[in-house]
Amino acid sequence: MIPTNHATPLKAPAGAPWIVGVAHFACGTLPYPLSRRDIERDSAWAVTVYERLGLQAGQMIHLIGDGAEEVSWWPFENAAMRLHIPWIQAESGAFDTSRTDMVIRRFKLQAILGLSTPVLDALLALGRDPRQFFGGLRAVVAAPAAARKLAALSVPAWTLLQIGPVFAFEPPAGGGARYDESEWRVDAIDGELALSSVNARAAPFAKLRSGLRGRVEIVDSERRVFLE
Amino acid sequence: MDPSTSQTPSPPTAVVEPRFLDAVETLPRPQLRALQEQRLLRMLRYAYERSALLRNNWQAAGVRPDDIRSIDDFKRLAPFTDKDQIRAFRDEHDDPFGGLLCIPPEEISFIASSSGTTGDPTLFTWRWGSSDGMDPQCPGIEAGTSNFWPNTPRDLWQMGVRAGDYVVLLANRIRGPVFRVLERLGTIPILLSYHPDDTHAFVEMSRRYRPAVLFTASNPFIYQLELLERDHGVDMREVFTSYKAVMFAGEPMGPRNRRLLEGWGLIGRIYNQTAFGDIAVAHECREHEGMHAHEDFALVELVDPQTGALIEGDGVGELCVTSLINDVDPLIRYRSGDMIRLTTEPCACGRSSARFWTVGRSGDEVVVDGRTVLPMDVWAAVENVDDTSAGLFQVIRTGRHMPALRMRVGYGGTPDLAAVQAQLVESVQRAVGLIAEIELVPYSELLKIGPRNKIPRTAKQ
Ligand SMILES: [Zn+2]
Repeated sequence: MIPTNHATPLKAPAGAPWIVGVAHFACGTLPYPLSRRDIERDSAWAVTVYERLGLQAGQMIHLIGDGAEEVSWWPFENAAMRLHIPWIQAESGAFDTSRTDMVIRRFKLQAILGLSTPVLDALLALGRDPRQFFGGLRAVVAAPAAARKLAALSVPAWTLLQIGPVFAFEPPAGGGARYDESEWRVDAIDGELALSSVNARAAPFAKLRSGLRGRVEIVDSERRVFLE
Repeated sequence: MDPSTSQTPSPPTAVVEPRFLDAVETLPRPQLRALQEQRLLRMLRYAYERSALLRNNWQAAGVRPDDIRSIDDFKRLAPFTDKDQIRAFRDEHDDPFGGLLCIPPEEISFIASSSGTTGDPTLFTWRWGSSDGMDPQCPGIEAGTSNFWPNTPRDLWQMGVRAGDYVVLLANRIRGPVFRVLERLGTIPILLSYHPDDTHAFVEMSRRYRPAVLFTASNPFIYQLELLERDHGVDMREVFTSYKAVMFAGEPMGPRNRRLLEGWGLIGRIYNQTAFGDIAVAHECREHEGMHAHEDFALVELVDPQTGALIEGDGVGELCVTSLINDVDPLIRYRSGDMIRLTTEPCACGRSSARFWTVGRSGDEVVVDGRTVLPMDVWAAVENVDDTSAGLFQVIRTGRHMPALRMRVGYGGTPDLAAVQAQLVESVQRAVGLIAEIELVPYSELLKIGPRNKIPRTAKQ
């Protein structure tokens, strides 16, 4: 018998690629490798996002995203585990609306992150009353169009901006979206948001245009992103 | 990414190393049974104390864990459970876990779920080990095993996957973060989705990183690759040069898609993956002679789907499973609804575990003029017609008995529909001896129905 060693994998060096995803920019789709170090830093920032959202340990959240966005969501999953916040996930396409519907009906959630516009539209088409459906939550974090729709229906929602693979969060009251400035810099170039990495990441990006129209302002000595 | 450019001149060719097996994989069957018995008895006491559904069922049947001292006692006395019971318990008790959860809810790390093509999805609940999110906690048994996908590292290892290999993961997030399991193997996951746009990315990433595994291809995904080959001249043999294994899941691979993949140089490297009674997934080994049911994780039984009677020995029946290691949401004597053929004959790979082939879902069969037809029976008939070769079809099933065989079949391009219809009717008649009523719809219409990696094979209308 030859002893197996699949239980003792190599530990990759901290800066080596640990996972590879894709990032979508105006110029097309680029490989987006992440190192363990990247993930650890991104996870630490995600913890601060949850704290800002007021999330509590031991209460369920619902994460909605696409399989290919896992590299962007991974830090938020790690942060949830670090804070002992259980999560249940669904896809962001309209075809998966019944899953999100089930999750909201059956679980006592404290927050939903990543609510997409197609899923929100499909929930509204099912006749769900948005104020009742989302009313008891600490936070709803939605794609820009979905957040605007919810606001018009008197449901305050955070806006989730996706600038390439990077998430930025704007509170319901507005004031611009925050992102992790220790890792990234967002600039507006000719009115288009562009992304650069500022730390030694596995995937260095330099002023990659996102395809999103917007501007950057300094608020409380932080760079905040405003969509236009 | 433009898939037609940026080829490297001489791609590395996959080298598949000798296989290695865990000691437990080759246990002689009497010793395997002893291990199962020990784990079963421990599991029953554990779950009876914690699972409300199990306690409910067992009390109704007048059975207690103390009544069971052996696998034989278990087979004689333990009541069955199934998806309907779990759903009924869930609705009656307003318990999203259907009475299965054995840990406090605040200890849950995350919840994945099934595709949910037949009602609210089945939940798969995980408790993950360390707080850095890298390391799964063993469910009470051995370190490093997750309570779902417990055998996946073992199966990938046998396929030749090694630390440092890149693994393309076509992921639906609903099935849980499988990439974490891949990382435990020391592999580097490449995360893509089943979205058609990602087919281009798949080609580009394959050329850039030369991955060892595709986890997992599906019929619609292969169709997208075929289009890239045909319309963009992508050399799929070159794309797949480095692959030691292409895993295939979601539904059975039809004969035509198998020929296609083999034509891309993947002979012997296509590994089917299937559900293992909602407690794990099962894979083929290098012998490709059935899926291995890792019996150190699960007790496997065969049941007559009509009478509920136990079928002793090998044969065809409904797969019934009992989880032996899952301390989060164990299924005990769970009738899966999957019809399988089971054998306990030793496999040439050296493993002693049983193997099975999925025959269909017990709820998928239709009976027309006294003939029983499963979607698998007409699969090749659809694939053999050129314009419907992607094998995207549904059997219409309003009940088990149908006055006629009705099918909805997807076609590509802009063919002469009357001619396609005539070819399909003839092809299906050759396969099952019935004249089918066929509705033709474009592929794109059918692909909208499912979660991109598969479509429901039966439809109520
Ligand atoms: Zn084998």
